[in-house]
Amino acid sequence: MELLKRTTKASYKDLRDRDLVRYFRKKADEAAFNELMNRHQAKIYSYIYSMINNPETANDIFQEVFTKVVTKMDDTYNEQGKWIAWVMRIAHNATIDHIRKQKRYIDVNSWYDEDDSRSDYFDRMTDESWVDADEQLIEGETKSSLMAHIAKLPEEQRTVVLLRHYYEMPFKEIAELTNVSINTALGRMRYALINLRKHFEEERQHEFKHANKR
Amino acid sequence: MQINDEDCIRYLMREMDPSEEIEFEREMMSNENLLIEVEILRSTYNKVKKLPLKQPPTEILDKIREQAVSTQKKNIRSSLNLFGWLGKAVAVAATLLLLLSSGFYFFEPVANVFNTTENNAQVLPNTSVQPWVDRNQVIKVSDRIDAIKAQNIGDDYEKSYDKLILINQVESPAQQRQGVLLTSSPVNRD
Repeated sequence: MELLKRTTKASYKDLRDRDLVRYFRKKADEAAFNELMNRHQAKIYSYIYSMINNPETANDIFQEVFTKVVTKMDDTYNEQGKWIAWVMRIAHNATIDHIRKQKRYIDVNSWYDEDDSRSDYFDRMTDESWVDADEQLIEGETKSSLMAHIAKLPEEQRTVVLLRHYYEMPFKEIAELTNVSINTALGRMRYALINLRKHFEEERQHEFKHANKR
Repeated sequence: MQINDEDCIRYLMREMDPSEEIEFEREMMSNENLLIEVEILRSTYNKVKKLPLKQPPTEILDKIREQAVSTQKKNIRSSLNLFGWLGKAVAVAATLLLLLSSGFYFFEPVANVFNTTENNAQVLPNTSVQPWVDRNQVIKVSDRIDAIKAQNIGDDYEKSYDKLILINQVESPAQQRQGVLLTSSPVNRD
């Protein structure tokens, strides 16, 4: 029995997304859905989290996305297309909807509360083999400052950077998802990198001044 | 090669064709500013690559899994119900269609009998058939041969109408063809 279970688990891992989706649609197969989630949950969540920079809201949006995925799968998902691209579209639209709603009511600068995000961020970081505590601290600071700099980018540039990073999405697909031309998407990526570089430079100068004062 | 701003990104993200890539690298070798720009963008992008993956909270994942499975089970059940109703509706429609078509089949021969007699009555004419003769095609021979021969030909011509028979009275196709030929063909006297 145990062997059978193990074989089934292994075979689910070998299946393509398309087949897992088919199992889930036809039989409400929990194992197939779990496998799909295991494959993509971190990327989807990271994208939403990096766009929103608020853990509670990111959780809500993440849950909302999967509610939509399950309810719409029978009607709107075409099995010929990539499942993850379809889910990503839903995640992107939900995130952008939220940001636009927020823009109407809240000051844009309050999206990112550095202290808040830093503590939560390390709570749920994926395990990595860090050598020692010092390195961990330095690595963590770099990553959190990176998150802070990305959060400062204009929404369009942030979207392109995160879609590219988490999904390795070709620019053609990014352009389609964001309803712009490929050149515009490429241009946004370029400006995002230029802006990030500027932020990193400012941070370095700031640190240098602090060090000199001491 | 003409270099656009976007080409640097295409090169960095490896979205160029191999031939374009080679050309771009050649361009970088000759253009120092381009090389510097690409290297700056590359170093920044390498930092972006360090963005970590974040795992969603376990309780949210459990909730999503539970909700997904129960929703999908409901969907399957409702689609099966719908399929059941559709199946019943199709069966009823097929039975009705079968009954109607068999009814038509049994009543059709009687209707056909009536129709056939009516059609026949329309086809058969009550008046006698008048053959059509093209008067322009008649050859006058009385002034070219002697009177007796001319009289005989004239008689044959007049009697030729009597040789025409109705199509439905023809015994063989050969006779029918002969009758038609009489109107303007030379008379075979042998």
